[in-house]
Amino acid sequence: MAECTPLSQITNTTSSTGRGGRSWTQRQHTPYTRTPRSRRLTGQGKTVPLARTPQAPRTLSRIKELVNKTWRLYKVTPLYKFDLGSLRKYSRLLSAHLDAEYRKGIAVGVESEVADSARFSLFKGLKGASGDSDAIEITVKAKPKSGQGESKVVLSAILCSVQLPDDAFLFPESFTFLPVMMVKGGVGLTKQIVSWLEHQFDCHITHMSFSPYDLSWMVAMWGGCVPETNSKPVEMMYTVPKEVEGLSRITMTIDAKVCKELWDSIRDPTNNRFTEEEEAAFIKSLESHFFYHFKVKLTAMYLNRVVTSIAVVDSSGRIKFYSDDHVHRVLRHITEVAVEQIQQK
Amino acid sequence: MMEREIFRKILGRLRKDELRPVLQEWGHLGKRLHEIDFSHSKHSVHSYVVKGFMKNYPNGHPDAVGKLDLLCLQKHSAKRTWAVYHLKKGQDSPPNDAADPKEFEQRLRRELGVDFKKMELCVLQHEKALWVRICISKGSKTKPMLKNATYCVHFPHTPVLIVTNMKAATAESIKQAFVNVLDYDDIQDIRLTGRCVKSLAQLSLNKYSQGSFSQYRLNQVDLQPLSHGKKRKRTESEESITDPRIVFVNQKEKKQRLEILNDTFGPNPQPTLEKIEYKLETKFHGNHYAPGMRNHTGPFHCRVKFEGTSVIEGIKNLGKTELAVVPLPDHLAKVHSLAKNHFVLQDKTKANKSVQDSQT
Repeated sequence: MAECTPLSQITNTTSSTGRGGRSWTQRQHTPYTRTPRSRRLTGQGKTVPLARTPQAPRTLSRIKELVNKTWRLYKVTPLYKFDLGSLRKYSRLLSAHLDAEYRKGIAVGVESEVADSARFSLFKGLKGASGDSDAIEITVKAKPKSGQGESKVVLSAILCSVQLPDDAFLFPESFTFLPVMMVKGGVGLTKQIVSWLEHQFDCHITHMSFSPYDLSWMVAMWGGCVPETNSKPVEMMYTVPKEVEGLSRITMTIDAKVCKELWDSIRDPTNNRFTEEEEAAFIKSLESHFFYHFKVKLTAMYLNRVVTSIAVVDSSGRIKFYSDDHVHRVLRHITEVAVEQIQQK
Repeated sequence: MMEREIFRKILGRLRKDELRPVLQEWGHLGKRLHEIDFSHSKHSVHSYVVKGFMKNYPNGHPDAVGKLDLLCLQKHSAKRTWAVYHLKKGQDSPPNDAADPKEFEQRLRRELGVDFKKMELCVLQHEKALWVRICISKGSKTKPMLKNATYCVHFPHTPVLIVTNMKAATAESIKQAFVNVLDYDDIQDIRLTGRCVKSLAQLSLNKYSQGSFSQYRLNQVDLQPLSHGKKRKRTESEESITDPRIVFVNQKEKKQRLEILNDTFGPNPQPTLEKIEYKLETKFHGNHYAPGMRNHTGPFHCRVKFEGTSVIEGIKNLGKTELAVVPLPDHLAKVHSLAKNHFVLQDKTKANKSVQDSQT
């Protein structure tokens, strides 16, 4: 780690963690990031819950509602003066804002419905460790314009943070850090909610997009997670560069069982973390298998979409969970990537 | 009335500039076609058409819907995916099939009438091929539904049949009907699918004259091969950069690569295929990076799909832009001569040898 300042050397941990324990004031202000040598795969990380802390019972957890829906991912910088106690006040303010926007004529997306009420609530079951803030859910309900019928949920957004990496930047007490926002709903309405949140809590919310490198990490880490029921084949979709006219994408789908065998063979079972070498081995072995048969260099293409048994992610930030047991694992990684992307700015 | 809606639906598929020629060919409007002002909105033009038809045929006409549907499909055949079937004949005698559309329709109606009491059948000739529309109703009382219509294209005196939208329930009967009408013994799905009917026909009919042999088929080769005169060199456009100080170091390799690609693919435009699928059941070959898999016995099951607007052209461009190493393997480079786009790749073992022999 050549660029460590003398101060950070004291706080640096000896294990190969991503960034070293530096506070956010000490992070580098360069456009380059150090790619992490390894990532958390499973486990609780450093904070293990004490025997006496009551765990949220599984029945209260609403994780099942997240599964089998397509969510758009956003990354959120720390929220200033976000108070868990004033959720009702925020609900009122947001409803008023949406109402005002509608009256101004900046109508909400769906013409037949009028966004009626917004509600902030706690989303139980998504907290990874005691260091995380509670997850918040925003639901917007709309009544059909004709006045009849019930109001139904038009947009659902969840702000969460699952097991923030230990070496994420520290910040004063008045900030709440919920780096990941998952939204399911119309584009226009999302924009309005995002602008209100940015205004109210002095934060910055942007789309989260994944580079092919991020996606290859995801497929390498989760390619071996095959749940007993409902296993899907592992799929990697590459888009072909524009100079090649006529061909637009190449998709490689690998049987789930065989993929797990490959994953087990490259993995060191004693290590809790997934290393860069293992990720490279996984991807490169698959690409060389492809090259042997087709003499086409997949390394030159852009990995665009990745499907595993537990989730499907694409480069524009859309995600869909398939298995509720593994939602935590996926969101833990997404939190880590979101924090890295925020720190990059 | 149901017919009105069906007409509107079919007419809605056409573009504004296509309405007049299609309606003229349809012919069921007669003189009333000239009364329609095509500069109005599409919706009102459709209303005029329906009104005109109702005045001409107050009790309706059985074949009108079918003919209009088929004419619309001929203009927009790329909207559907077509599958190619190959008709087989055991003996060497040529089949006694019909090229005349009327005779063909009669024969087909007789055959299909055995199995289905209520159906709509329409046969039209279009660009050297017979286009057939078969619409079968499920019950005896229900009218045939538009979305259940099966469309087939047959090139007379060839063993090729291109079909779209064939429902599982009626597939066997329709296939058998064609086998009987065209005097063949059997019909087989040759696993060739796509959206462009012309390309599919080219791939299946001209199977042995694709690639560089297409030059002979299209009469592009020198007509006097024995003449010893000097041939005029084709001036190929080299790099647009003409600065003499720039030296291209890899000109030779580039030339070699283009030559090999030209030999395999030929200079003519390739037939368009939207998708090529491979099912790989070979051993794992990424052992260099995953040494733990060296002991892995058994096939490494995976599937590969190449997709695009014209995949064969795309593969040629992959070779051109050096994203693929030339010479390309046969199962990728020779797709134009293989007349299928779903392949299974297996290791060459004794067990598979019998399969390979039977397929060639």
